[in-house]
Amino acid sequence: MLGISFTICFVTGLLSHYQYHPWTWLPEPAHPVWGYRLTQGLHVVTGIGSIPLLLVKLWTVYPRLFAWPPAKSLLAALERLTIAVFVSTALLELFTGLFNVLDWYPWPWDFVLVHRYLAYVIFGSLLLHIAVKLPVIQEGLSTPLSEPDESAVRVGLSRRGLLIASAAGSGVVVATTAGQTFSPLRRLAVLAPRRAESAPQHVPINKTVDEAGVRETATSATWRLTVLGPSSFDLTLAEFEQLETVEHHLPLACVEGWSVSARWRGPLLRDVVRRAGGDTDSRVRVTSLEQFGSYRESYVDGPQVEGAILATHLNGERLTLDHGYPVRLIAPDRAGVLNTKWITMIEVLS
Amino acid sequence: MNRQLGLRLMIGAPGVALAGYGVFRVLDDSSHTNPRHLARWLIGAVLLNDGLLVPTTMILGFVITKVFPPRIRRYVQGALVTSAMITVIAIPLIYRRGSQPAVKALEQQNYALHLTILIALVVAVATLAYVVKVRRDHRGLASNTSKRLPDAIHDSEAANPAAEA
Repeated sequence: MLGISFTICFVTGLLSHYQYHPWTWLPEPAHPVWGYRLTQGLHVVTGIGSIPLLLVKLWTVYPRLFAWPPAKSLLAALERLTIAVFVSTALLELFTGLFNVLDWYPWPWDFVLVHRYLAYVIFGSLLLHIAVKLPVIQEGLSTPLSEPDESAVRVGLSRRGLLIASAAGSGVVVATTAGQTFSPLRRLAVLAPRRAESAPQHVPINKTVDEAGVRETATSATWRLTVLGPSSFDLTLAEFEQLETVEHHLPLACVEGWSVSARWRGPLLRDVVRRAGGDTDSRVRVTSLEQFGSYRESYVDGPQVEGAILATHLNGERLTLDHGYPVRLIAPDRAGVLNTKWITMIEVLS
Repeated sequence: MNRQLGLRLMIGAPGVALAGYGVFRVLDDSSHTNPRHLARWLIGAVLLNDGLLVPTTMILGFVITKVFPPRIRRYVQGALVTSAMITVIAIPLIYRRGSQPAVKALEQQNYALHLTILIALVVAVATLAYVVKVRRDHRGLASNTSKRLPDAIHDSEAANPAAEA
């Protein structure tokens, strides 16, 4: 079970990494529009559900920590070392992952990089552990899960009982957190870090206008949208709002595992890019009013240029300042934070 | 036997390579990864789990075996395992509640209350399961069969020959 969930986390984690650092010759697809919503929702829900499972697993193998002699051979010593590496990295990976979802970084290193590097170590040592234990696993899978009732009554919880209790614990954790991305479970999401219902315009916010420090520039009468390309131009807010608009349902899916589908209205990025002399095969850079921060600019490539909206309205209302007023990007199958807010410049790069 | 060794190598060798790559990246990118602190946290995680969390639950388990009679014991233990698993996730949420601006819709719920309700539900389910077990045992005695009625799960397992294969 843990092996399966660790594999899900590893694969979806790599997919998420690709969202942020794609190869230019293989841009992130635009379909399905809910692709990232699914993979990252799975990543976070599975990760959270794995925490109690890992703790129970470590609890059940605890007596082996005191096996004597500690190692019968060099190979056995190496195996124990691998397990030590696996246990420590897995514990740290899962808990720091949960804390990241809670916007809590009490450690002195770059979370994203270390989360990825540790994932390599964990998945690698998991493979090694499986290779070492293969005969035991094969024997375990071919033995029926039953034991004499007498001993079960004597010692208390049987192995099956423990499995039922852990499945229940993990099940409750998953059921009460998954609602932040899987809407049918929304009402059950009593342990979910995020609940869209309580957010303005029913969409949560990761960085507020004050955290970004753009309250003044975003509401200034001198705001312009500058579009650079073979034929550059710029627009005042009034001119920008005169452009032809579309309205589409697109999900906003955060790397932190929450997601919500919403109605977005605004001009198509494609139309603005064409007016500047580019086209849907252009590489486009979108820049925010933000002066600092890793996500003050983002690139839109390939199929995503076609579907991207320069949104001015969210769920039928004018964007609030926290949602990126006067205009923000929203593109299909795109990590939430790459949908740049408070846009001031669009560059057609090729 | 040889085939198994080949399979083990096929799984194990990429594992070693991948783990080695991860360690290399951590050390190579030390200005961002802070390996010295990272190592301290890694060791700390194991010490906290193996030195504090597990021993505490073991002592608790020992107390339970002394306090509760055998038949109810497994239901108490099951309920505790399930509740502890939920509590582990709830604690950081309770701690972080209200630390963020309300517009983020982040950590705004009354997690302590929700945890209490969830644990109450777990206890209710365990109690119900215990009551069902007691009544079933009584019925078993009343019908004067010396052999205990098999559990439903036993039946389904016996009926599933795949488990033996």
